[in-house]
Amino acid sequence: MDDSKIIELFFARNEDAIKHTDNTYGRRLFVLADNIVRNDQDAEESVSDTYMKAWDTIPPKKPVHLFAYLAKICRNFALKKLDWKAAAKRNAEVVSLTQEMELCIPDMSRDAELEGKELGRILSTFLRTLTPENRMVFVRRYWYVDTVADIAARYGISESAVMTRLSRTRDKLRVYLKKEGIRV
Amino acid sequence: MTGKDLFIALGNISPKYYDEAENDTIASSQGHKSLRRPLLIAAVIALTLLLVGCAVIYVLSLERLIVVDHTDEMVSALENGKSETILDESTETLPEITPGPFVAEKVLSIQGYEGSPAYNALQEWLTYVTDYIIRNPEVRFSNDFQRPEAYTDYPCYSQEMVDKVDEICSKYGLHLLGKSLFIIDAEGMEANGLSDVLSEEVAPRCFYGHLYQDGSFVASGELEFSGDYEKIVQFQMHNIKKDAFYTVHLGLNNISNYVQWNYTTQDGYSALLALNDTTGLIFVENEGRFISIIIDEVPDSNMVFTGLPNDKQFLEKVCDCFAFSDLENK
Repeated sequence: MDDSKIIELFFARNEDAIKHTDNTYGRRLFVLADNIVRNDQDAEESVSDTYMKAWDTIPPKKPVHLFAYLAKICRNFALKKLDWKAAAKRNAEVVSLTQEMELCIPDMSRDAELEGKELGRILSTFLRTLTPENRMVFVRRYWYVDTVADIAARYGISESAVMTRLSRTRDKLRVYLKKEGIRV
Repeated sequence: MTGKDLFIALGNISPKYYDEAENDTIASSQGHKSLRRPLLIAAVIALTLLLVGCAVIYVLSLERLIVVDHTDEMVSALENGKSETILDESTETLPEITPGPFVAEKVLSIQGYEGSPAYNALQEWLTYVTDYIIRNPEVRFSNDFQRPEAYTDYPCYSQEMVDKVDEICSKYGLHLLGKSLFIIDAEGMEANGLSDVLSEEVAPRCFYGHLYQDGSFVASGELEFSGDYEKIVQFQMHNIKKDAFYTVHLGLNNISNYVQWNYTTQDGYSALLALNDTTGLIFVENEGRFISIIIDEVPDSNMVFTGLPNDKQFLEKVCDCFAFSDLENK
């Protein structure tokens, strides 16, 4: 069922909206959540919480791209469920990603307190400067928490190429954030 | 601000970007464009890819590292009108993309020269994977299979692929790499015994990497040069045990554009060096490992790429920043 029809069901307060959302996007949302929490139960709860949030917010919201709307909610729920200390102990993938992100922070910005939305705006502007290919690799890694191997297979390139592209993009982001720091 | 802050803040980026990455379609003002398998190389493939004239054969050469040669396939695609226009990283616009398989002209081993067990294993693996993907085109996009932990760094999407990894390891007498540990900085690299890959007097601008359980590792960072060569370069070293099964490989186009030569490193090893406008390559084999270093330029503060110096001595100077003795012997 396409997005417009699913959203019509939400607007009609027809509970089949959840069923059709789950049929269409449930698996992808689960994978997204599981990449972060690495725990089936927490991933399933994240997805369920996402459906409840969608039910509560649609209407009045009418997302243009339903998956993007749900994915953001799901990612946030998964991050809230994540026990960062436990993740650090088992050297979870998501902890590795935050360590990789450390490489993007120029020294002068380490003390900077930037509100999440403002930082998101800056990151969006940065992403616009990238080629679509580099941007997708970056977003798959740091938004969807895909492994390097998964990204390589998805785009038919070598893992070495993925790592090189990520490394270059992180370097560009560091330069970009440094420039933004000067203007702030 | 910490890396965690940045990671969490990514949740606030424009939805069009994570929608784009999920659907592999490019978000643009004209709507969505389908992008099948984004392409890697930043140049238009032309018939000049074919090697012409006489090539000087070195004892060590890039040609001895080629595991798969797609030249004929790509030339045939061009002749049949299936030309591929490749994303140009230097422009803001996206050229028209026409359907076609993505391949690099030459696929190179970074785990050993032709005839070595690791080279043969990689060649068999790549042949198998190509056939497997043709038989199961959607498997890459399915998340139904939970990869066993020991195979985390192998691109396996089914038990059949995991079994193939085991079969190849057994056939060529190789072992699995094991889980990798990400090391975030120079302190961590030193604590894990990996700072010895750099010569004593070298101080990298940044230094980090991945260490596998078997002792193989990937080390990355930046080196800054002054004097004759005012340049900052990025390096990525794959330092892999010869009896490890490693599936990472290097795709090269326009191999004839590389100047190749043999060089003796400061610690007495024979190295193959190759250099073109944008990339330097260093290959060294020691007692227990095969070492590949990929050198790229770091752009200036205005994010402008000016190219690597077209000078063999430059790459030799870069090579001298590294130590190639087997780490186990230290």
